[in-house]
Amino acid sequence: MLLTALFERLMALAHLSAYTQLAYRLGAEFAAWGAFFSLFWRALPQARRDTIERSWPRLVGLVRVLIAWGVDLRTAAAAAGYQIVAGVPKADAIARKSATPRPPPLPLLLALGLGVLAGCPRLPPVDLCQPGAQSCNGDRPHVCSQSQRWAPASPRTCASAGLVCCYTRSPFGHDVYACVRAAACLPEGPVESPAVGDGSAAVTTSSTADGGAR
Amino acid sequence: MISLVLAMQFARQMAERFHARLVRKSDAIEMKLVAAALEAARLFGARLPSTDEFLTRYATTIGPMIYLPDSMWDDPRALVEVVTHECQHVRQFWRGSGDGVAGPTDRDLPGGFGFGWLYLTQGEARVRFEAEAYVAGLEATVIGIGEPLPTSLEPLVQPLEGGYALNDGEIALARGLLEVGATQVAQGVALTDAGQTAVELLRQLGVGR
Repeated sequence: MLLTALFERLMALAHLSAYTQLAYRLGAEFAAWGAFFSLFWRALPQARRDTIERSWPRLVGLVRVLIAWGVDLRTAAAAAGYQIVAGVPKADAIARKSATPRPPPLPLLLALGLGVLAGCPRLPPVDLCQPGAQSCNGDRPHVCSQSQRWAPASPRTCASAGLVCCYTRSPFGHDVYACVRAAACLPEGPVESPAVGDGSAAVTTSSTADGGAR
Repeated sequence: MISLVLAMQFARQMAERFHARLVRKSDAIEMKLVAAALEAARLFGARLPSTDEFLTRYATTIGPMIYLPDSMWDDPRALVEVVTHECQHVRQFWRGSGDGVAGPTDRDLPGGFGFGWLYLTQGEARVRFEAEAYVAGLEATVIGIGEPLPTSLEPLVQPLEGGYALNDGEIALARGLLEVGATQVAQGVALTDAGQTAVELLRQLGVGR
């Protein structure tokens, strides 16, 4: 009798745990979609929002209530799962979850799928430059990234601001390529030009930027 | 130094010029939802701020919407720096990175959907967008207000180390971009759109040098 009661209690707890996990997952998805809808709503002009709200006051109110509650329900479901059902302190639950890989949530998969369908924007082509190297290219200073792409370090050409792109001393004591006044230019950098993949970078001068003295 | 009244005027005019909207973070339910999503990502081990930090210390820009935490609305210096930083992001959203006059080169990054997509999915793009925006903020405080440059690179890099889910290689790129940016700021000429506009507005308001 006692064993049966204990078994039933355990089963009830197992069911509760399953529902809590489901609620947690649904909550996370609800949060993501709620954020999208809120953003679209806020992006509308105030007059348009007022018109919509006057036309459908109950519907807009219902959405507002659902979103407001959604955040608290998600937190409540998570806390019920790890703390009430499993009896695990929050810090331990966080440590356990970060150690256990999980499949990505549905909104992320959908976003990825849509992105693939739309033709995802990509980073510029690889230049095969030496990571950390710097150069002047097209009258703009560039820094080479870990993926061996040149990243412009100025949004516009130096000449457009009355400056020149050249080898110079940074305020922190390192030598860099930057847009500066001509008087601040130093004699050319000591390191040979790194390889450039597409041949179009026209890098004739460059140096490594390892953060130390060169 | 700049007064709160002038800083508020500055923030409003910056938002107007960059077609942005300033929103208090505490008033925005969507920011609580984003915080919940970030908390979930943190559980997967991402290097991101905690929910409290995100809501009280970080300004956030989504498209043309700039969400500022309550504390920043009372701090004129922070308001100038952060609004300039976020306006550069709005500019990136509308027009991408790079020179809007000569047109983007093949190494510049796109605006619009491409900006959002690359920012969220590519750490390298995130670094490039953020470094440009941090340099814009530096232009506003150093050239616009007349503050001195930091004596080392660390205070400039430190915000990128903990709050943007970047790996060591991406942080190294941030160091390079920020050092070049600071070198250019030391010349007293603003090169970013938001930095240029901020310097111009601050001069009109009678602030700084």
